[in-house]
Amino acid sequence: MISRPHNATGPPLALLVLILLLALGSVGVGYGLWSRTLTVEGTVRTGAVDARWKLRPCFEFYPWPDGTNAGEVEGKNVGSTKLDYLRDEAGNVLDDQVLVLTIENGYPSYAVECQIHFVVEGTIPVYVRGIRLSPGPELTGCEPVVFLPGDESPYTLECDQLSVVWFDGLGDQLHPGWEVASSLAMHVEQPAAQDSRYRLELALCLGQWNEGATAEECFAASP
Amino acid sequence: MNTRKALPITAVLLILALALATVGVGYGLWSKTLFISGIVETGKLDVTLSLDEVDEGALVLPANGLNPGFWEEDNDCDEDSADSDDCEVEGKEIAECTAVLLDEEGLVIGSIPPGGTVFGGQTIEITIENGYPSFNCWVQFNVRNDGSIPVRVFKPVISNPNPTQVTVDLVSGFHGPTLGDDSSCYHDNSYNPVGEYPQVDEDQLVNCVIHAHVNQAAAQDQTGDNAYTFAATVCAHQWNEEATYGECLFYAP
Repeated sequence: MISRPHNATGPPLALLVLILLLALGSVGVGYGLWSRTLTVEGTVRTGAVDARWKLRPCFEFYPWPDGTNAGEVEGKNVGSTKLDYLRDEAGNVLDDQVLVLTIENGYPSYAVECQIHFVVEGTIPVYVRGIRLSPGPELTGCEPVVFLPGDESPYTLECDQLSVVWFDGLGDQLHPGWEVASSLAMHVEQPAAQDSRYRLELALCLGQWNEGATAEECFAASP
Repeated sequence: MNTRKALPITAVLLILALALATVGVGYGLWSKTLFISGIVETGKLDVTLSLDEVDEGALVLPANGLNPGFWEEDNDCDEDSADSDDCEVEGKEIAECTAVLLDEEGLVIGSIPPGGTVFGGQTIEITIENGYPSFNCWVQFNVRNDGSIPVRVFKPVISNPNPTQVTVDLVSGFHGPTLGDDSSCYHDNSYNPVGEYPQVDEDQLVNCVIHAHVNQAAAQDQTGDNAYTFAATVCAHQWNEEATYGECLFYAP
């Protein structure tokens, strides 16, 4: 028989026994357990923020800016305005999210107003987070400007050669399927040079309704 | 020894939280930008002069319709009514009136072809050589709209520093002064009067005649720098703008 000396320094015998019992108990539980696993498989299909322009007519008028007369002065047909999607040379639509507004044979005092519509084609409600009017390099006396929801309409960009006015009719929250309308008026100013080409860009940014994004964040996040 | 103090742990946590929140907003924003690309192409205002005829004669005939006139079918002194006519007294060819069309650089574009018109000039240069009292020259010209914008054309304004020696005026129509004293100048292609300040559409023209008469007071042998000179200026502007003649000249290139 092995006797434990009185001066031994290892764990007490009682502790070893307890550990052994626990180990054996664990094996016993695992062996005897009946189990069932229930699985929840989650699929999240996200919605989309999407929109596209709709083609609507333009109307010439005079005088600027009130336009009580339709057409051009004395009933002539000198200038013309075309509103269309971005197309390739064969006439195929390249992008229905880019609208090209072209005034040809314009002259000082020529004025036109185009109806600007777009359809919310996504599945997420959106807010207009900002409208940015950017003059092309040929236009002088004006800088890019961003209009925010709540700004007093109309929004204007006044360059030496061209005045642009956005009559905002977009309202607040826009829901999927809605077609919303505004209008864009342009006037060729006296300093416009003949036989020339002036460009500008209007960008309208839509963000999902539940994010408090600024216009800059909206434009930055847009693809 | 480094004396910088470390940020408190609460500040570090706050900065970290803000940074993460910012990333979260940027990352989670769905947006779509629609573009309108605006293009404005302006038209071009351009008018040119063209020459139809240069006719020479001795008299301004009365308006009885029987006497030979100065151009077109009335002017058959040389049996060549459609072209320039030399109808000096007794059929002589003493003086010579010529008109040439010049381009913007002052270069001669060309002379009037038989039965035709020479187009595209900016200046008409009229020269009378070996003139004598009672000699008349009529230069029939057109102002044509070669631009893409309708224009209004002012009546030619004559500058004549020697009116006593040489009379310069405007007459109109292919019958000229024989049908009256219509000096409104401009007529359309069918010789219907269109007033002194007509509107001319793209590719259309109006016609006028400038008349120079050597008066009795003219001195002989006026050549070179002593020659009598005159000028006429035509100014046109776009049809939809009100402008004085002075404004028209001021803004012309």
